[in-house]
Amino acid sequence: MSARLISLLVLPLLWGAAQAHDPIFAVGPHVIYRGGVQTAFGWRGDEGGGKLAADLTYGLTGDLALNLELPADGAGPVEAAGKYRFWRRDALRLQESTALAVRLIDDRGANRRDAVVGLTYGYESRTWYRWAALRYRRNAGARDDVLLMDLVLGRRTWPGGYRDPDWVWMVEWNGVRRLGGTTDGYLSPGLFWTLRNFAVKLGVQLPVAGNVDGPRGRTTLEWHW
Amino acid sequence: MKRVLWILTLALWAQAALAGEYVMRVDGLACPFCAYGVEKKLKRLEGVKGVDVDLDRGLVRVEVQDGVTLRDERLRELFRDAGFTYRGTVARPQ
Repeated sequence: MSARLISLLVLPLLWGAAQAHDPIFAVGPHVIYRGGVQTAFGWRGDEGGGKLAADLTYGLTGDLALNLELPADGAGPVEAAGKYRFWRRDALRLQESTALAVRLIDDRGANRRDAVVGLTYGYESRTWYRWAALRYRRNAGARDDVLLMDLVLGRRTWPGGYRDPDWVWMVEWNGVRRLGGTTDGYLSPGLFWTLRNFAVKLGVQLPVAGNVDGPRGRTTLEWHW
Repeated sequence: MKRVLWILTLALWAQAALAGEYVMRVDGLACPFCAYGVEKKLKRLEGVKGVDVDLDRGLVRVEVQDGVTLRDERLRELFRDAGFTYRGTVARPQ
């Protein structure tokens, strides 16, 4: 493992657009409670460099959240997103849900606006997590549109009490199918560590299929109130 | 047998409830980070002194000041807004 890759894993602040207890690279159905506000700061990048950004999520209802991402340097894209959790099944120690996720990406530097729409499913128990997502990205300009497919498995290693630190390890498979014909695949190990309303998410995306560059890292520091 | 043990545990919990304390059954509680929303919303209610969550038993314990009443309709709405399902109150202040 290269020194750069290690640095991606240990940098204190990485960036992630994911929300609350969702996967790191994929999207999950999690929203925030009504009136709740979640703030995130982080970094994302690869061996060529990275960028910092800030993220704000607001719970309009218990099932509908709005999200805004702003680049820290003011130069990157501004992203606005909404997530509506339209189905939920609650049981003892268990929550299962499905959501519609929409994201608009306004990249003024490149003078283009992209849109992503998709469905996401999540299963969360005291020990196991499962997520699946299918999204379509409409790219502006000459770039091909993209189909994004994600499968994630997570495991809470030491289920503790309500006030204890919480560790969830996960491995994601992220597929990117360009409608022009090429497909990339990534295997992405990650960690979600939380204490009360404070969370650190950390992951690295390793290319395993297709014509892609080196690994990418992502970490988020987030809290809600 | 498992069911009997479960009911017994619940009954012991209810018995152990202090004066000035509600104990509620809530479904969907799987992770502490998400359950924090429950605590946040309950603490916004007037007269609520403390909140604790037992994730494994699906119980939420709320300590209230004397004379404070938490009604089912209000609790159902509160837990829905927090993203969970309220199943009922198993113990009330004595």
